[in-house]
Amino acid sequence: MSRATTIEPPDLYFEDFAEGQEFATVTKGPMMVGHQVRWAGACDNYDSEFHHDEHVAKAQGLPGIILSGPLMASYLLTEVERWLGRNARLTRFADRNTGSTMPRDLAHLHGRVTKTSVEAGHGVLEIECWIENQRGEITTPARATAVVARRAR
Amino acid sequence: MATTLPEIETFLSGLVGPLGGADTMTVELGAVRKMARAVEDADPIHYDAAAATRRGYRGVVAPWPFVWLMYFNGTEHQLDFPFGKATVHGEDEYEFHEPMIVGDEITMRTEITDARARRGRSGLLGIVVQERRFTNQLGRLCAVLRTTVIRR
Repeated sequence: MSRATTIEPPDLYFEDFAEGQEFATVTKGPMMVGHQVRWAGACDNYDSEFHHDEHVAKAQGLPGIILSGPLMASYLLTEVERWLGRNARLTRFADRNTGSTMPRDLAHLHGRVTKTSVEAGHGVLEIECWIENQRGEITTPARATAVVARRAR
Repeated sequence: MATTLPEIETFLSGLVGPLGGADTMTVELGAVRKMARAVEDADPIHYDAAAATRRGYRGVVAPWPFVWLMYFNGTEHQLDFPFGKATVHGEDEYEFHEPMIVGDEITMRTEITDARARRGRSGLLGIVVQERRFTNQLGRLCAVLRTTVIRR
């Protein structure tokens, strides 16, 4: 078994969600260079020195190390899956990098259900989600679609 | 060095089409666990085969950000532009289909689907959309990742 502590996602069904429902905010961080380094290792990508070397980042005109946009989006995508539980299947996710996350920043992960519908017998949820830092700036606006099992009648 | 709008447009239109060849990678358990830990995904289906089969999967499931390992490891991903100073990763759009399971052979094909110039606040910008399609050994589509990069 892995060294990671695992947790089964909640056992939720389509009927447990409603339009306008807000999910409990999750805070990641303070984000550190170590988070970025672990992501670089998982991606086998060390090409962009400004992601882990402050000297290079500043020489390139950046205020300092910038954490990877896809890393932050991946935290958000993962949290959407956890919010929706083990009976949901994410089908789409789209995000934009509108602000930077730097070492020692906090990342508050927010989400809400914007639409519920039943399509071809399947429950479908549209989700709006975003990451906001400790200054209230939205760094990663995103949206997701998931198919969620309906409770047996 | 391209400096005028027609020069930049000519360069960008030439980018559209396949980017490199197809690349195939085996989904390895260690790589899957490493990615799951990096994105703080604690779902046991990414770590333990018994937990994954209890939930109806063929084996340990790769978390979706696993596509980024293939993105960076599998093909040439940095474009050389004859204009601008920096390339910014603007946005990503994912489609998810068949789960990627440890032991699967995933083939990634990359194509530039759109490349155009735009006049921004700080001058001319290039906007390039790369699409990566991930298919398993059964020929089933697992995921599509569309990445928009901005050259300025």
